[in-house]
Amino acid sequence: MMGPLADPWIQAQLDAAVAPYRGRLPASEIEWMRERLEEALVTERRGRDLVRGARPRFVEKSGEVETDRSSGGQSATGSANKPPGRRSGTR
Amino acid sequence: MTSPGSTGAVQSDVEKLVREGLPLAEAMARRYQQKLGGVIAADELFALAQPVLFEAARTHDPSRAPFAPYLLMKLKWALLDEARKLRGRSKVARRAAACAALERVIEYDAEEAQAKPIPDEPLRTEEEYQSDLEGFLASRAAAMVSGMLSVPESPEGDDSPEEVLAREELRRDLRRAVLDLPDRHRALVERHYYGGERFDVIAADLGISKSWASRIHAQAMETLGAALRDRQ
Repeated sequence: MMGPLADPWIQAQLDAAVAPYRGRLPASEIEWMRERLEEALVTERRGRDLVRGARPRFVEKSGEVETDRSSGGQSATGSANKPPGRRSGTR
Repeated sequence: MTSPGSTGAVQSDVEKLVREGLPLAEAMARRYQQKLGGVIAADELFALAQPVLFEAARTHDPSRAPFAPYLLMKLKWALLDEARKLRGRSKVARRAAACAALERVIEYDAEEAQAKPIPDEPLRTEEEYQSDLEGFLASRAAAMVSGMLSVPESPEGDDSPEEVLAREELRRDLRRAVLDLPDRHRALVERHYYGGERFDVIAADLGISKSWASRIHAQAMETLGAALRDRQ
């Protein structure tokens, strides 16, 4: 798979989704299911939205947190709830 | 020719619609050949599509919908339904049934998205999105598996005894998870996947609209996805 879905994080999501069926369905069927799920993340609006919202984004410089200047310099929504090293999206 | 058809469409109109629909039927055959992972040829699917095209051209009512979307909707379900019934082609049948179950979940989500074009929800954390993403994928996986396992084992199949046994164990786990569903959800899943009843027939019998039945189906798949994940 080329493009953004080659991202190891996405591949891990797909692996986790088919994990309950590994060894219980033939490998060819698992691979086919995985392809259909991958397609869902590209073609379905909700799939795209969820990937955009859930994909971890790492801070580029240690200790910096993205701020929303329009709200008086407060940290971006939700970032206070995030684990260290991650920042919120700007949804 | 201008002889009226059984629904009032004249023969020349039917022929015109068939000509209009042929490229769509070919495109749908190619699309589902790809969606089914190449286990069936596009030509075979096109052959299955042709009677559907003729029937759609004959029964189409232009006052209710344009022909192209009407035909595409008919072709989608009919192709998967016909492919599911192919004898001695258990892999095709299983994937077609899986695809139909998946399409049902996708269709429900698309209708929901159309009804609510701008999500009215508070800003959410990555963790909440992550949880929803896991549910999104798990419910689609559960739908595909429910579809696959609804196809009876065939003595003509070329699966190894180990594959049949593993599938049987998964079928038992799925059955147990279905039994834990709320009554209406269980009735819908049992009747559709185990009883082979049409979705609209079950909805009418349960006294609910087809779109409400789609909602129940989507919820059931989400619950089954989580249950099967927990049973790992």
